[in-house]
Amino acid sequence: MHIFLKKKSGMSLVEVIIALAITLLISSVLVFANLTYFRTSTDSIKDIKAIYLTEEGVEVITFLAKDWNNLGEVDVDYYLFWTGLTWVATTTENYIDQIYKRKFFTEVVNRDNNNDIVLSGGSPDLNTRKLTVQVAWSDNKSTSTKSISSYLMKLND
Amino acid sequence: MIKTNNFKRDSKIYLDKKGYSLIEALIYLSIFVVVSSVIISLIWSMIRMNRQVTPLNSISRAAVSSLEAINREIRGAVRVDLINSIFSTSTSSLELITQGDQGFPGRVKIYLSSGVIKMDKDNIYLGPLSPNNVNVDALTFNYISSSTQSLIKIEIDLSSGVGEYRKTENFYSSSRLYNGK
Repeated sequence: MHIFLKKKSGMSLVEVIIALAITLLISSVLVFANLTYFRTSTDSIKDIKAIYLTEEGVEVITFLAKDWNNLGEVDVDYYLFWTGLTWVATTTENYIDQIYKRKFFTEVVNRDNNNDIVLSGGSPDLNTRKLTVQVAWSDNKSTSTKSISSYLMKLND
Repeated sequence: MIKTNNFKRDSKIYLDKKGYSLIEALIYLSIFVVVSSVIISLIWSMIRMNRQVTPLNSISRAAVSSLEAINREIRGAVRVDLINSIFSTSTSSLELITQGDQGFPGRVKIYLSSGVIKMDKDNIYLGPLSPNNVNVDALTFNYISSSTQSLIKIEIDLSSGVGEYRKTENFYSSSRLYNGK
């Protein structure tokens, strides 16, 4: 009983500083985790919009490709523009919601003797083109992109 | 066994037991004030962030669920009922003729009603396509067709959250009718 009464004392300054450090460490981890969550959430909504815009690009160009001339020249960047009545492919850049830039280009497709698509060699197939749709937008300092590729076949008239 | 008189005597002996001085108390108090104000401001900023993020997440979920359902119906449809559909307005409605069951053509209607995208199947209300924590400000369908195929352009304007935390986002999509014109 003597000892108990004699030695009892409050926290020392060192203990307080250690407790403080632990508290700050835990709260900084929490803040970092929360910031990451915030950034991911705000980025993901842009990602979702961009994915739908890319997918829309493929749908619209496949629709427009019924008239092969709508595809324009190979290896040239085109942009889709909604006139209010219909979709048109144009070489003029335009932004969707002032943020997203959606371009597309087509490439020549080569086939070998078995009629299979090959990346090198073979001979060009005038009735097939490779389509790539790309949506780009600026995020703070970096640029994010989403792209989809697909093959287009010319239908018999 | 401690007797009461012993305890009293002992406590008198150690009466000069060291406690906090006023300076120490003030130092600890000021540390406590600084730390707690930092922690409170951190918690407050986290609450603010969450209030901003929650409507964004609700909007994302609503956009994906409603656009997926609408695109699926359009792609699976046989043709568009041009007479009963309303196009090019912010309160459009789309009526589709589907393959239906047992050879009988079915009918699907997608429309906007009091801020919610709704779907009717064979003239019977099937349910909402957008959740109730998100308001659909506009649902716009546009119809274009070529000699062989039809395409529906969709725009959905969504908003969620209250006061300064209210967020608005527009989503765009287009779908062709795969099974017909």
